[in-house]
Amino acid sequence: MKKNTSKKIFIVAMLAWPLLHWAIFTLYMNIQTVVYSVQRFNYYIGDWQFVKFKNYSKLFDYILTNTDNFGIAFRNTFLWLGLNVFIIIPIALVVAYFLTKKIPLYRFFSSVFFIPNIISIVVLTMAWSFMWHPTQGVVNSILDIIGLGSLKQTWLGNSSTALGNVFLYCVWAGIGWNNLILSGAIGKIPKEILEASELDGVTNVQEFFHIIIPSIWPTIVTVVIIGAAAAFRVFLQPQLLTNGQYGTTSVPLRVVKTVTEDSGYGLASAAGLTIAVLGFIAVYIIKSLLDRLGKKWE
Amino acid sequence: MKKLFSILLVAVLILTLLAGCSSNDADVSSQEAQSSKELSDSEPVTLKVAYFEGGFGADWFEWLKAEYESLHENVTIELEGDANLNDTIVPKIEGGTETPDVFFVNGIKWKQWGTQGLVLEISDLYDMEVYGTESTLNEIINDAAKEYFYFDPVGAGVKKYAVPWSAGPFGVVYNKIMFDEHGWTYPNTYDEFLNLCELIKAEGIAPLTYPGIYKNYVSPFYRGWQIQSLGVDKWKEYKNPTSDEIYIDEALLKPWEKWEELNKKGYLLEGTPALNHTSAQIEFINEKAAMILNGYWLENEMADAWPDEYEIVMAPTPADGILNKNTMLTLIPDSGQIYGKTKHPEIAKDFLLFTLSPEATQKFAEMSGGLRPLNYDLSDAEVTDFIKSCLNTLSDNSIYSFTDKGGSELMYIDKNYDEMGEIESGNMTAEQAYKIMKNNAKKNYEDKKDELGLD
Repeated sequence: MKKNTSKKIFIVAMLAWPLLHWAIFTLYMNIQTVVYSVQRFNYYIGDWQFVKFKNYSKLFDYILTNTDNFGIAFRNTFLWLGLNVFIIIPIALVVAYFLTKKIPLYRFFSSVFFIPNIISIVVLTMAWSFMWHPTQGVVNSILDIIGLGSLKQTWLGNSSTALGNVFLYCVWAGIGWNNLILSGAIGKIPKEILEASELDGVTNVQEFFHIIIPSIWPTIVTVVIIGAAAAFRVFLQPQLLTNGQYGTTSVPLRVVKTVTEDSGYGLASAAGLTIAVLGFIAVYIIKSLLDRLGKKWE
Repeated sequence: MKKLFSILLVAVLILTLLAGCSSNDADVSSQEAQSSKELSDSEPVTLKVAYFEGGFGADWFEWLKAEYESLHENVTIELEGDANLNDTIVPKIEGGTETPDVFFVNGIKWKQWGTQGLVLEISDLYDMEVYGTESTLNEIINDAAKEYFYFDPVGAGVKKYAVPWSAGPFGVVYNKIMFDEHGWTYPNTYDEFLNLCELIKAEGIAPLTYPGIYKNYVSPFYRGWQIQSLGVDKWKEYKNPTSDEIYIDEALLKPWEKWEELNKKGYLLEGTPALNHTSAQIEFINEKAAMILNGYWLENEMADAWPDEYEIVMAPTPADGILNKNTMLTLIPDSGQIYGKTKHPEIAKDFLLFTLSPEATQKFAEMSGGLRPLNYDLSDAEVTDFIKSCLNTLSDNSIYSFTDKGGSELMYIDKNYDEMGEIESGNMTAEQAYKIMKNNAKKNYEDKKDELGLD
């Protein structure tokens, strides 16, 4: 009896803190966001007013007419989803494959690819901006040296090149982490399998598609899900590189600016919840497709 | 076990919900009576004063504390400098925990907090005599600050919830040494400004730069040109519109045309659109550009980057249009406020009045390099020549000083930064930008009317 009571006390003590933390910082905050999304602050009465779904209808109108860049923000967030899932992760996978093949200087390359993950994003974006600086940047200088001066651009200051440049930064900075996880998974494939396939005369391409990918599929699914979810939280990259100018903004950045510049808590909450729901649906669909693909291999 | 877990979860949820429901009842008059008594008697009182410890540092607040305590022996000022106060003050005030009595922050949250009773209404403080003067605060603050702090969001009567802390001009800063060497003078009119740009360009120097990824740096021009084209009366209608007609006024095309003209004529430093504030300011310091759109903080912000000899001057937007006056955008980012449920409202108000005295204002300039929108003669202040030039623009009656904040809730505050960028890149014409601005402004007007229930 006594033992049972102390067990219960132990469980309560262990669960109380994380539960309280979750209740305050997750549940309560999200309830507040839902409440804000159906309210607006009215300066006439000095209080919040229930406005039903007006914030949502305003948001959809803003998206469709691209007012305050909401249309571009939603478009870009889904482009980031595509970038993370279809470009960064496949590149990281290919890089991981070659690095595990122990190509010359593979340790050096592994470190180089991972470095962006241990340096502050503020420093990284600053270095990136210097690199693409219109007059003193190395990129425009190289273009000059090789006689392609006509291709010089204000890369981060023009709507025709800025978004592509921010995406390029994301690829550069995003490969390392995925590479680390995927290299680890590839490294755990039993050597006997790879040696046997080599003896059977399997080419690198065949090995990559028919042995490596199926063998590490659960890891690939994990990095894809994490990458897909991360696309809906992209904020600092456009904020630090272009301040969201020149068609590079994202929904999280738009949400923050709506609150800080316009005190638009209602609209920002509606946007935040909408992108969260869309993000959930997108990630769910991706997960289902990947699971189906995984079952085929099983 | 499941039952135990459920009980625990329910308990946590109830506690969470209760935490969000705090009492809003406050007997303000009894607070004031008590506080007034404290001010006149010798009962010890501790006044908590929190301040954003950013570029202005802590010295000025330490000075205020020492001086105020020497005047009021029963009052102890408890200072709390916080570099993150602009963020941390929100949960403190809205949650009612660890609240200071008085706080100095950046931002305009006081508008909402004022109408909610979370910061104290201090309209009466504006009618009180300020320390070291025989004038009331109403008589001391400048016109731009009045536009900002006289809060009348929907024409329901002016109320005041905050007092100015720092403020200053946001205009054109030019390199005086370079100007003197070439025999250039800062122009008085827009046409003269174009001529000057042509002369500078002919010397192989870019006439102008600004931190291009932060389009708000174009505001001294954009807003100045708007006011010059509209005239003062129409500018007041722009800020406090009675219909959306003002936003389709043809005069509003002019600022876009001027912006297009400066860009097309190549008066901006190459690559300016991609520069952040540090890069643009470095280009200016390195004499790649003769002028920069910037504010009164420039000298302090780049303190370690200036050469041994430098001389920079703050100047207004050259005159044009039916206003035909130079214009100067006055930024009023910071304010002092009193927590709505403070136990010492009268002492808090008295302390704020003390911070607004001529001596405190001079000390603020000398100790922190900060300016305030108060009509004091600070010619004796020991400040740099640049700060003196900033002070001159604030006190020069030939310059129309304004702020674009403090308009009614119906005002179209947006400055269409994207369209500015598109014009810079040559992807859009002034006409196209103007058309987008008109549509957005009309839409904004309808949305705001709907939000305020004014239909």
